[in-house]
Amino acid sequence: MKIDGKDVEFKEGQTVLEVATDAGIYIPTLCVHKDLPNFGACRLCLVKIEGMRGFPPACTTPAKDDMVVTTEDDELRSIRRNVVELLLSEHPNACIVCDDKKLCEQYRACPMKAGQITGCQLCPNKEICDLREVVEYLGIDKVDFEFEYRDVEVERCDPFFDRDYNLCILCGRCVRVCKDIRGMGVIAFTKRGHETRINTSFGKTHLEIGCRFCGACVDVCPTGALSARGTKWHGKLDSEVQTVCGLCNINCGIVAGVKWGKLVETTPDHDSYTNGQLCVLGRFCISGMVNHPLRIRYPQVRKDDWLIPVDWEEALGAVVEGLKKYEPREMAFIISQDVSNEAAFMMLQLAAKVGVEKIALAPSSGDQKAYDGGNAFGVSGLCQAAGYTPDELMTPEDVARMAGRGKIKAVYTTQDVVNIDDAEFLVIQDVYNSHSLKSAAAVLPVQSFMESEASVTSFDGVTREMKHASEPYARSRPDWEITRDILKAFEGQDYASLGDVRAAADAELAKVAKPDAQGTTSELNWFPKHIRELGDPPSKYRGMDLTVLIDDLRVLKEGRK
Amino acid sequence: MTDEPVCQDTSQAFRIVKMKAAAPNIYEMVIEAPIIARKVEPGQFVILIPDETGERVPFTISDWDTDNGTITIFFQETGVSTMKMACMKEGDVLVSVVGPLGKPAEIEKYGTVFLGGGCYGIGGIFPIARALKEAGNKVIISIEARSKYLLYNLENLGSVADELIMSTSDGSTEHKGKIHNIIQMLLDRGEKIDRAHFMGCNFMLMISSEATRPQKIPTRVALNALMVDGTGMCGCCRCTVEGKTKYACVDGPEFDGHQVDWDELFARGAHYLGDESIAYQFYGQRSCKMDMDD
Ligand code: SF4
Ligand code: SF4
Ligand code: SF4
Ligand code: FES
Ligand code: FES
Repeated sequence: MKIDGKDVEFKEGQTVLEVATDAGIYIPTLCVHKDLPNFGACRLCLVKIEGMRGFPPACTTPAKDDMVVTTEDDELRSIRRNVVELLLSEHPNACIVCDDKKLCEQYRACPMKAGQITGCQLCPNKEICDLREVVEYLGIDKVDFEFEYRDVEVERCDPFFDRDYNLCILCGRCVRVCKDIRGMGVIAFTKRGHETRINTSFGKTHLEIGCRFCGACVDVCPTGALSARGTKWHGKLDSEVQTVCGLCNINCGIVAGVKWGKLVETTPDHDSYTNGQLCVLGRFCISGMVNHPLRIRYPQVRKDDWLIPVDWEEALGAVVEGLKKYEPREMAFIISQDVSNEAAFMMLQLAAKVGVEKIALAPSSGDQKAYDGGNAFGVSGLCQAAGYTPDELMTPEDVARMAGRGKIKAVYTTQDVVNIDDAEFLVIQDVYNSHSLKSAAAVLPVQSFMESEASVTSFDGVTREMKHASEPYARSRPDWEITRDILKAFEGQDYASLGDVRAAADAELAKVAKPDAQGTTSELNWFPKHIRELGDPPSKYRGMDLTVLIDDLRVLKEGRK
Repeated sequence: MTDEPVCQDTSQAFRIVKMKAAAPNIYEMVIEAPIIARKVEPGQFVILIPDETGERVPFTISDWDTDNGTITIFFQETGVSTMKMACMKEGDVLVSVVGPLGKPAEIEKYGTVFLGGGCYGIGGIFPIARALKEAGNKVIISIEARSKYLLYNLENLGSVADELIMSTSDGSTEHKGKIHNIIQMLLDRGEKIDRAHFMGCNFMLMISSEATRPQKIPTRVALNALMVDGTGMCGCCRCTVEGKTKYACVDGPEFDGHQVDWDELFARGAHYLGDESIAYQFYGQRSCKMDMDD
């Protein structure tokens, strides 16, 4: 077939739009999204095809042999302008037609954090707006139709995202992603004609109607109509880092948005094996967790009943000195299933060096679902490689019980453990301030999975890398490095770099059978079927209940009940 | 300004008696605060704290009623604190309201006075306009917004203005453009302006002041600075005017618009953008307190 005079090849089943895009010919679109079935709603991609009447939309017209397509001429340009101007007659357009916009953008580079969006300068979507892109492409700086503000109330009563349908251009992307990709169908077009709106059936809240709050709709929305309430006002990002989520062992691909050295948003990674989808935890909770004021700021050591902030050297000195006072059989190590392969490997190395045999995994596998524990397969695999059969591993409850009976006196734990107060010498290496701290002899603050490099082995047996995205919180350090320093003090092997530890951990993991991937990865688009759902037990990270950290998650859980 | 100490009467409940959306993002809030209502003069402001964990935010007093003991503020939702305020209802009580703060606007008979208001300033400029009118001036008020549906307070302003001119970025009112375009229009038609007052965002204050500079029209701007105490102690609201260090809370809020160091003001205003943005991650987490003893 021929597009704009160019001979192009195509495959059976391709649309004219796809053929053009493959041939490097740009046709402006709005309702098309690469993950979604085409729909033909916006009429922006209209083209001319010889022998066909009118202007067929390129996105829904199948390519045929000997077709002759024109994608751009004066007539098409004016039709497209008309289409966009018509959209802008109901979409706040003042910032698009304003004469002062250059100066304004120079002095007000960061969006104003408005509740109701009445212009691009107040819009969280400005930096990534598809509508603005099309406006720019068509060179629109005036709108001939009279503007009519819909003035519908912004919907902010649901957790996690705001919905300002005054900005909606009715492209239907949100409807399609919810139904076709997530299999939910929470939202739909309601009413007709001029009154057409996106809404839930019967106008219920998303919470009432069973929305998963996966945020897929927010991510495909080309405008600022749908936006993540907690993480939308950062404006242009300083950097984006492709990494993986550490909140369950699916380890979905995430793009961490960083600004001011801080994590300001997490969005799904389209290049990852999870096909650009996330659950509510990965999409909406990570930033708030990482920046949360309940994070432990400083290393601390107990002196005269008080936990006193000290420097790292003193804290590690106190840990080593303390541990040396006990017989190996009086000691237990508790390894969180949320720590990286490197961290778990170093704990096991230290245990071997010191002669500690009581190893517990937290949480104990009894009270977790298959994917709970950000690195459940990696941590248990490493234990297995170190010679522990599942039966030989203890549970944190066992450790607490034995501490209560005086059988265990010293405990080194990488997460909060209930009822551990009876341990004489308790070392807590953790992310959040927890109840266990009140009996801790030493507290070692660690970096979260967004702050340090590490690797995890997901439920499908593939080891995935976590990247350094945001700056470490206060004085926190990576798990593996802390344990490495303790091991060094016990005259164990010195690992100079993360790479050395990773190589050693990978070699250990190679000894054990890969976890059963449950045949899932072979299925295309498997993810929605396996999407983690919020249920009991509560979602935790290193023992910390996430609903304590993220209030909207509490609202969601309570709403579910 | 009166010499009496600024009052923060903790026995008093700062009840919201009226809460209304004046325009999208702009809210009118009428608060019970009889002592402030008795003492306030045009151009002064209050600092209020919406809830127990809220920060201190300054708002221009836009009207008051001595008989009923109330003050009115117009505020724009533009951060977590104002988002919390936007969610409050009539009958709710604010944690604290301190005021009146700042120097009152200078009111004299100047001749023709031009007042420009944008965003919250469309509400805030009213008491100054009223006082100037009462002092015998010819008062021309111009207000600006992105579009017609964002303008408000028209009745009040109309009642004290000899001329009320509405300008919008999208041209949905008679005049397309901003206040600086209106000033130019007035000068072009031969209007002699003896004094100008601007209230709105700093960007609007800056470009409007530039419009009065060539004619050397004495220009007063109500600066927007971040504030904490509002009594000249913390230094948070520091700005530079005529090359001298000033504190917007006690030396202002009004300054000579031709003498303000705008770049410094913008830089200082942007200082907390990161924290302000991250604060949204914890909105709704107000109740998140971990009691280590239970
Ligand atoms: S959605 Fe895009 S065009 Fe619309 S206000 Fe936001 S940035 Fe502007
Ligand atoms: S959050 Fe997910 S489940 Fe809820 S409406 Fe959006 S796409 Fe559907
Ligand atoms: S809410 Fe967004 S994605 Fe949904 S129809 Fe409107 S503009 Fe499209
Ligand atoms: S892109 Fe084809 S109709 Fe929207
Ligand atoms: S607000 Fe503290 S000195 Fe002005």
